[in-house]
Amino acid sequence: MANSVGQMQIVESDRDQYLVKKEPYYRAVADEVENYQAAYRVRMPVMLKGPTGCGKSRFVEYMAWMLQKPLISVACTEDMTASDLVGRHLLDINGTRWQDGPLTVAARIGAICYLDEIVEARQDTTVVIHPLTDHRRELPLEKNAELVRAHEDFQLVISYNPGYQSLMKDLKQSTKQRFGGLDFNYPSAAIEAEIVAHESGVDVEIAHKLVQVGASSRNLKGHGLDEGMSTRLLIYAAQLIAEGVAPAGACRMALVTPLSDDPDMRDTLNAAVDTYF
Amino acid sequence: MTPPRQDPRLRGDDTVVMHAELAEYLQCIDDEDIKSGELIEASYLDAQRVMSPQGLENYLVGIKAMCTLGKGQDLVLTYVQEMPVVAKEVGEDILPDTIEAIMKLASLTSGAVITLILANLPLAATRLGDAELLRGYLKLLHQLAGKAPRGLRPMMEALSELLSKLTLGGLRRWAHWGAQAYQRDFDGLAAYFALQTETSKSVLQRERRGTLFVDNHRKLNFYLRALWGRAFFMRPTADDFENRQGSKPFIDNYLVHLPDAFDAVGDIAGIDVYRAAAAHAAAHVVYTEGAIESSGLSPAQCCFIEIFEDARIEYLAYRRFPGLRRLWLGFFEHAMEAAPATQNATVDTMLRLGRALLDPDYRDRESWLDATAAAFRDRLAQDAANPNDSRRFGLECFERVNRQHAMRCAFCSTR
Repeated sequence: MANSVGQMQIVESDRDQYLVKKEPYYRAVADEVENYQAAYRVRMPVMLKGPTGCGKSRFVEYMAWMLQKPLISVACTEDMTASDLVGRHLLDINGTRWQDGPLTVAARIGAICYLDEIVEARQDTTVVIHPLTDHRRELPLEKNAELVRAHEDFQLVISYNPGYQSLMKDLKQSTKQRFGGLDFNYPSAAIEAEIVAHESGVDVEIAHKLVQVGASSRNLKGHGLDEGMSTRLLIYAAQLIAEGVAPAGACRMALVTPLSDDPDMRDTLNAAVDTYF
Repeated sequence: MTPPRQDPRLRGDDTVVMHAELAEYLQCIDDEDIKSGELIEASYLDAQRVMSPQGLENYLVGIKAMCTLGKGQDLVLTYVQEMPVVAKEVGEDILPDTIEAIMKLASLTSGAVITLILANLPLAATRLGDAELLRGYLKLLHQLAGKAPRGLRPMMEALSELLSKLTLGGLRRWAHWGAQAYQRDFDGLAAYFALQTETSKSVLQRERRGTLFVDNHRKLNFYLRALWGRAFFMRPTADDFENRQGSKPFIDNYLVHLPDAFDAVGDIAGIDVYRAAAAHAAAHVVYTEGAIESSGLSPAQCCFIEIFEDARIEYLAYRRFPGLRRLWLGFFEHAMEAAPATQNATVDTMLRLGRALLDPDYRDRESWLDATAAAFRDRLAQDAANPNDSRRFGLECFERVNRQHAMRCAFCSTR
């Protein structure tokens, strides 16, 4: 009991640190904000699907700010274990003590827990979220002999990129069917140019050219490229241009070099850059 | 207990069937030779993967034909082993042509040389990248077998280097030069074809073209797909035997034919020449919606219409991809700088007209030409989708140039 009280104190004092203080820039492209709000009202777990760098994480940040709820983000990796999510016993000067993992903290304080790139985690790790994502909304901490009932504000959000899916990396059906899904993609050219211009400070004309370079690279997805240039990369290029780097050089550094090691492909992407700048 | 599953291709019953199919065609192969048997089985499976039933039938007929040559088991096994690779590279339609070419060669050269030719055929297919070019290559071998049979063996041994640097036209000129120069000097002939003499290397250098299609096919595929988001089918064509300039790009039934090599044009690198040509052709494929009515028109009239139609197509392309205008303009700038003073006046006018249409900043010495280009560009700005404007402007321009030419002739004759 003392343990729980102690944890409650920690929880209350720590809740604020997870709040998103400043409004993140997010440009809605359809009705995703309204749909997410509806899902949150019924505490439906949400799955965000879309290519890398298209704004999934920014969207979650924005929604956490809008709802004024704490946000705990976890970048999933294949080395991540269930203990990394729920918590573990640690040794200190007084012996062992239980340390909550981010999922447990989120469940206790009523945060939005965002598991980014969930498919990177092993399937035996992801099953720990199951009891939190159905009517039970509870998290059994077997090693701590405790059952955490999720705070009423708690919500689980996961994201993944279907492009990375393979037989080896996919969610189990039993996991998938616990979530509502929102599809994300790169925005339309006009909106993407608006985003690039806003995030970097370059004028819309340059942003529009960058978006066209991005569109060229996306034409090559599945034909030499695993993934086209993301909005995030386009913003990087625009930021370099805003810092005075020549557009062609900025594109090479931010768009072409990170994207591919194939000399033919890099040559083509450089030619595509020259087609617009 | 369920027996372990085995690759169905390797199951005994299939092998028996395969043997039965092949037995009729492989009468010249030693039944007891286990290694040959394994090679035949593996090659036959490869052939099944890349050929249609008709292609497979041709392949088997070819095996029988190789047997009937009586030039040894190696030749037959090389055919069996290499032809699936050749068919995969340039298509199975090459099989009958190859069989015919080998039959012809059999009366001119030894079995060992033919075996070498067959062993190098996948390399030739890969480097030439097109069935028509490979047919041209086989024809060249036949000519050489008649003119310089002793050159074939060393040439096969140097083929990798030769085809990495030469187009088919270049290879023809290089080979014919050697066959002609050393027709009575057998040692010199062998050294020439083995690339062991300075003369041979210098002729190779002379014939070497800047950029080969086969080395850039992948890049061009990427490039066109990046721009238009769709696939374009391209194939190399060789027409540079008599004329080193090579053939002009053309489109036939949505297939873009590009020369098998391009030299740099001034400061424009070979790959950019390819990009410019491929993008122009692709623009025609994308934006041409119907043929322009040309019945009753002279070739000269059609040429003028083509200039405006090219300008219309290019306008549609560079409106979307501005860098293409810069790329295409480089060719006009170079052509005008490099044009000889003696150039035909009409050709010169066409060149300047093409540039004026592409470059709003260009000022010609004849004001009507600037005015025509400006009027056509204004028309494009209003409606670029109408090819009838190309026809109208082309014919008007032709009439004007024709009148000028007639006046010039009349003036000359009065003097």
